[in-house]
Amino acid sequence: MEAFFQALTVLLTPSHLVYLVGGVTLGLCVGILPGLGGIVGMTILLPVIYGMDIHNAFALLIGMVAVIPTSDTFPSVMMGIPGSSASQATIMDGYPLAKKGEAARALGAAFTASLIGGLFGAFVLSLIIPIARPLVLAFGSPELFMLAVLGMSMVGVLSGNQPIKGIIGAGIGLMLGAMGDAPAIAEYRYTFGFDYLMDGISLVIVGLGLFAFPEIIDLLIKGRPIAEKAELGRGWFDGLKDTLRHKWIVLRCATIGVIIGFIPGLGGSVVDWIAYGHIIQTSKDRERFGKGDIRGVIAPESANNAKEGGGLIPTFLFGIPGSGSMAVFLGGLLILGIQPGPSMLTENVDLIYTAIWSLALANIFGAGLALMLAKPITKLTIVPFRYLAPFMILIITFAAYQASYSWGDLIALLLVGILGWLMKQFGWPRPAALIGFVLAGNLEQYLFISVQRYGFDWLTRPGVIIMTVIIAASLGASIVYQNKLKAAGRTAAKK
Amino acid sequence: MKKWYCMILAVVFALVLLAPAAQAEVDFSGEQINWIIPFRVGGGSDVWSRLYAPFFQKYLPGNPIVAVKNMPGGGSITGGNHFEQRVRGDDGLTVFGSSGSTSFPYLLGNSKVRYDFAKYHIVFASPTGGVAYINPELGVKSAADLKGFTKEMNYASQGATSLDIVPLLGFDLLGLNVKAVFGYKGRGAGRVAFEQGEVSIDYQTTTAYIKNVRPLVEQGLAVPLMTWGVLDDDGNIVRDPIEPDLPCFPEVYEMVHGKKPSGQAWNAWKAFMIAGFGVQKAMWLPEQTKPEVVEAYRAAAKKVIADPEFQVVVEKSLGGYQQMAGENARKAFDQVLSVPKEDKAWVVKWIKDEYDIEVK
Amino acid sequence: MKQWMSIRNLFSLFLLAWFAYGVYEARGYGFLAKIFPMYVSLVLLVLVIVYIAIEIVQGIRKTGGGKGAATGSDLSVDWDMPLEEVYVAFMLNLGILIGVYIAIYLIGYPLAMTLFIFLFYRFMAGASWVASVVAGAAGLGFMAVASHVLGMDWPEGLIALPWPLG
Repeated sequence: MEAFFQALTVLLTPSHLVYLVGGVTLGLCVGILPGLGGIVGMTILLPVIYGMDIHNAFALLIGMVAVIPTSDTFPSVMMGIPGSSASQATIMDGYPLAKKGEAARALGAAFTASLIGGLFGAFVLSLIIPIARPLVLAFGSPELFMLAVLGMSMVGVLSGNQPIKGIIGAGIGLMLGAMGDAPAIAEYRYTFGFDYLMDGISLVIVGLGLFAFPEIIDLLIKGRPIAEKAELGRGWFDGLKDTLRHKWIVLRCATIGVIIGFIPGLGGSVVDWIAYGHIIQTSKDRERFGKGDIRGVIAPESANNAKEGGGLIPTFLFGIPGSGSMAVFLGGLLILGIQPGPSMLTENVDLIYTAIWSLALANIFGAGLALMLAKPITKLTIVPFRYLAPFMILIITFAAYQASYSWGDLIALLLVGILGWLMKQFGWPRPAALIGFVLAGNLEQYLFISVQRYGFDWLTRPGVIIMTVIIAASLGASIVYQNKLKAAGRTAAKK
Repeated sequence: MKKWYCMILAVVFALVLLAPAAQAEVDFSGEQINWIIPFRVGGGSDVWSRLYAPFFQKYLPGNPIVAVKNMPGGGSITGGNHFEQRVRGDDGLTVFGSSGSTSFPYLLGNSKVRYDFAKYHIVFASPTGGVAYINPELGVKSAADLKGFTKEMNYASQGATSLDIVPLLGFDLLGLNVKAVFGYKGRGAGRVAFEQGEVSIDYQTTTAYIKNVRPLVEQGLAVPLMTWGVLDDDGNIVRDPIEPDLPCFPEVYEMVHGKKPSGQAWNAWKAFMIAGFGVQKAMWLPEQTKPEVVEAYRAAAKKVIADPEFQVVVEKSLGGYQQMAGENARKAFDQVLSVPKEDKAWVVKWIKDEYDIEVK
Repeated sequence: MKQWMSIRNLFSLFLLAWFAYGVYEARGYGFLAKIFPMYVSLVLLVLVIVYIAIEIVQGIRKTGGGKGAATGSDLSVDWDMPLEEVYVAFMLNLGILIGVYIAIYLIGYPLAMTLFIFLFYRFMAGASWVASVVAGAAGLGFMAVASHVLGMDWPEGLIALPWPLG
């Protein structure tokens, strides 16, 4: 315990704070630019940390990665463009709020949720560190497969009143995800002979193509500002109050965030969708989701900050990163001469505490800075979009090109973009496609491993059975929801 | 007239004298050297290059900036092909970093490979080691117990054409009944699968072994079997100095079969073991590079490796293995380049027979 | 309206072709690589056929077709202009983007993007010359800072230009 607070006093010295704030500033910048996320941020910092004091380097790296899910909310809410893969679900309700001129409120709620979620994540991290190893080890390949299935089941709530479109939409994502190298064998699928497609299309490009590209084009066609009303409505303080009112949602979703974060292999990219799906399933009044329900902003935002804390666990204790940015962070650890492993708990426990405190402080600084920026930045939503459009195009092509530094990135962006625009016009749910894309690799990989290793015995593992029950319950909940909606539709029609 | 004649003569004379000197003077002042790493940022090869880069900056004449350029894709084939097809010039401003995953498709004759190590100039090479271990519940106490051991075991593999050729072919040579479970992403995932009981035999690079598996050994949760071994100066595979108490693979082979390893399968294993571990990572200059530039690089590599500060880095982050510069690296890598065609074909056929996977 | 409807159906047919190709292509893969894409695309193929059938039945029953976006499924699209115009405007914007790509190919990313911002401001957005120049410069500034901080390369054009333009 003493070491725990000692780590705080070390971190509060000016030199550490400078690095922490530096990291936070970079993280905010990277997060706010659509398509740039933790991987790019880590890549920028990696050459810098060589030979740096380890605690300073930690403050810098963790400060950066902790606040990306805070600031990436800006483009998600204001333009319907995911700021990074962590804030894709925030679009669903945040963007409609911005259209109604309530961008400031949505942002206020989002940042408060991010702050509480992030702090809660750090807190949970400090509690579960001692039991983290057995917890991580409880998830074998069959359980990981079931988790991926659980993620896929969120498509149920996201496909609205046309389930078949939802399933096909998810299938589009699976097919996009199947491109490139197969997980178990060096065979390249659906590459049409292009070397570029050997590694498949990157998540950044699919995210930008499905969401950013169609939104930019549609706003250009409409030729109006994003906010459909001229006044900006209620301010961020109302959003803050919204979040505090829904404090249980925040804590629940933050818990989901930590858990998904620390399970290696699932990756952080579906955390926001799972939290979003969860909140729809557990709410009685669901009619306003997708049209600007503040809870739809709070849920993903509290989960995505919390997941960064969870994500540190497998990286530290097993040396297996749970997400792209953690993979680069792992490289950073090696450059600093730290070999992750169980001995981190004995030899480098001070580092773990530094990490936890950095996480907590970074969330505070990040949310504070983001709140200060919220007011001026929301003004952008009343600027006619034609003035923003060229810059948005600059940013998304720029971000796409960072995926593999090749022309293929730009062409893939355009093609996935056209696909996304058509899907949007014809009501094919793009969130379902995105979830399918993110989970395609996991589904295939873990199913293969399970069948190769256990035949069909894996179906009887306790973890698998528990997960099956959860999935059945969640699917049942969405079916009840559909029926309610239909019933509501009938009564409305009668009137 | 005579004056002119004399002057021309003097100038010519001076040029003749100066020319070799000027040629030998390699200077990278104010230049940036791009080091192509065909893997993503933060991966093993990326970390390796970033550990080396600042020291090359220090010892290359003129202290150029050494920038790591990641060019991931196709399991490093994309970056390798870029180096072959796009990098021109004899001034040594672009270098390439290869790894075992770059050498293996080259050895297997993958049709996508355009690069050819035989043409390039090696600057230095970094070896690594591997340690195999087994689940204690199987009753194996040490490598000696492997003789006639036929229980089925599972091994978490990334794929039959990956670095896993070395452990899989190795297990096969020892007559072990190991089933490969494909689809794991990296050795870390394999280690976790071992801890979960999903697989019962595994190997780790020595660095990861020390931090992650030794604690398991101490708790009685894993039994170390052997190391793959390291190359000595004569090209033999001998005990790994980092884990000297464990027998190396050739010793275990002898324990099991009662004779020194030989034959085509053994030759093939040795070739892939050297490519995957003995000279796992290497820095290369393009074919056309001027000899004096190659020499400057090799001299810098020698200085880097001798730097006490770098020795600390080797200890902490590169597994503590003796790094090879210049001639040493070339000699070691020649063993990879001189693998007979028949041995390569044997491995391709082995993969096909054993796992029904074609190398295309 | 009629043309728009046909494009909607064309998209469904495109999905049909895609998944059919998915099955066709997967047949040639090795066992481990084949199973997943093969079965996924087979199932999808069946579902798309069912969907197209539904679409045809609905198309016969009522003309016009319902709003595509379902509640809670995705951001909805409401157009207050005829859909033919939307379609034309989409092609126009797409054309502009392809033009930008060609420019990037010819003169490299930074210069192409700077020119694009400038021209877009001046001629598409109707901004003043001064504002357009400022906007273009701002874009170039962003790219220069980003490329410097990130230490990354842009798509180079056929014509090499000095930094920060090349």
